[in-house]
Amino acid sequence: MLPVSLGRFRIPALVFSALLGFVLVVLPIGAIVVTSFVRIFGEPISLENLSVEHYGYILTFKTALEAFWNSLFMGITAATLALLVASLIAYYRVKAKSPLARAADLIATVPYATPGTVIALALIIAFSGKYGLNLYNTFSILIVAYIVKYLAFSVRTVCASLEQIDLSLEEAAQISGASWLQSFRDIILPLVRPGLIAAWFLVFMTTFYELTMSILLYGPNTHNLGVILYEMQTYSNQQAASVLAVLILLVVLAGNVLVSKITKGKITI
Amino acid sequence: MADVRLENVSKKFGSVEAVAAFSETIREGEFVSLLGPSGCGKTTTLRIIAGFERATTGRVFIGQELVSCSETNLYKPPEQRNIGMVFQSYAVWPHMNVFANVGYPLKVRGMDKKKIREKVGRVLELVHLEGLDKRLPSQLSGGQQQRVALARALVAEPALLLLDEPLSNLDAKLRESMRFEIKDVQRRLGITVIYVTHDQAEAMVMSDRIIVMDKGYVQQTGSPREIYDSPANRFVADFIGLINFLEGELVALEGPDGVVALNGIPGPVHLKGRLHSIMKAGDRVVLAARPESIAVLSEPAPGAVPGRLIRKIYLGNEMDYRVALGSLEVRATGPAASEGIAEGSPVWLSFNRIVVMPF
Repeated sequence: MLPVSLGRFRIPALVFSALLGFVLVVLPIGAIVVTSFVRIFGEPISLENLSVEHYGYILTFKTALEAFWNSLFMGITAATLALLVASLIAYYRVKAKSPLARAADLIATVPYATPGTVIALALIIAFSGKYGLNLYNTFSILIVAYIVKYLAFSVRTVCASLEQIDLSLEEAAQISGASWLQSFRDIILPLVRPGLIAAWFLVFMTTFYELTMSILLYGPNTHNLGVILYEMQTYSNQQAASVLAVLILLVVLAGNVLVSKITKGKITI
Repeated sequence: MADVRLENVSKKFGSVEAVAAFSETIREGEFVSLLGPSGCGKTTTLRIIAGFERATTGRVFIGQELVSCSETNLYKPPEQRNIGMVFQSYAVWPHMNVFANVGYPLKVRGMDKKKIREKVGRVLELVHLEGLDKRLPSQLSGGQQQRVALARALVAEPALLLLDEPLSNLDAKLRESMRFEIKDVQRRLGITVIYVTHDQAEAMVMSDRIIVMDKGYVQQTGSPREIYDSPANRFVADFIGLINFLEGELVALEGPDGVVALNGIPGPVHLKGRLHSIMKAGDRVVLAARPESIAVLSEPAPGAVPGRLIRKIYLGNEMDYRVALGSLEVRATGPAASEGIAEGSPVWLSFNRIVVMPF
């Protein structure tokens, strides 16, 4: 992009942007962080009113811990399965130029543009036993929902990193005497590895705190962090909810830093 | 080492004929260039030899072995052809260091580590990269990456080395020195080389033989001297170096001698011993003459054609003349020493070498 000189609007524009950033990002997140350390919500923020007791509460609260393990399990499963499917689609799309894979790629982008509630509803109707398969109240229906919704993330990321590999790099391996398998193992895989890792984390992190679909699909034993966070905030304990929010934020932040490091800043959420 | 034989090879991409009726034998140890403008089919031909494209028709032999045959549907993939190849984009693997890149063909052949180290060391010496084996490609200059690609192509001692415009990404000075280096390596190893280029100077300097291609067809095959001195047709003459074309009609013909009336030039031009036996009076012909084979004289001489000097340019090593012949403008070059003739004065052009081609 061409740099544009703002002339005399330079200082006002800078102040406006900084203000906007402060009001929209720093203030709400700051509020969450501060709230998570407040003993009694509503009382003035003073040294006596600060404590880590809510952290203690959350870290020993059975439902929250279950939600954490559920989120972790579903996130890992969804990200791994999505990556496998996406890798196949991307490989056939980019390397074999298969029209079938092209179609699959297109189909994968449709759910991403579809509201999560619509997807959840569709899955409830389709997998409640009416058509032979009953996944209601299981982990599977949530994992399927995550994969359907976020497969496009993985496909796009893996496609992008495969497209970076010039055909001549593979041909050089072939003419050097390498079989397809050797060339895949020694040339393609190492070169797309950062893309694969990034694709995995993108799906993992978005599913880790997912709410829109989870709130419609969770059952007695399949609540995740998003659902618990929502219920705490709505019905019981805002400070505990803030603690949970801060912890989720830390996980996402760490994941983001990791992805950005692995892909050298090319991919972030 | 191996010779390479192509018999009636063609390649169609959809309805586009990229290579047509290509039959040629490249002898063992020969350095042959495929030369032509982009889209002439040279790269496709090379890729057919490598095995990256399957020929639509025809047979390809490398050494005694048939590697591709359209009739029996025989096709050997590139990894089984024992060929070395250097790509235009170098195609050096960015995640491997120099040693791993160059040693890769030996590694996939299952050679033991000690032997690989020894062979890689020797070939790196050959391409003047000794001591750089721990470097990553991103830490190398374009010229060094090209040498890595060359070393990798040579390390497994292939029967045949293919080069696809390997120098086109290098700057002019480096390109010139690399020409000699590649030629030198080829001489020392005695390896058969097929070299694709659109740069006629490159082809002239390096090749034992040049195959000139255009629009999928071979236009002429010959030594650099033959191609330059006796171009087979107008395309070849025009593609290789500078040349003047004079169009005209054969007025009289006696054996190899004859008289040509040139369009736009008053008076006939006498040609001695330059005509093909199949030509006859009334044929339209093209005379082609290189600037350096035309002498600019200040006085009339037998057989010389009168004209007028329009411009002369001092080029340091030679003089560049523009001479008006009737309504035509002809380019000639001469030694820089003679200041001689003034612009605007009458001159006579003596054609030392002239090629007569059918129109």
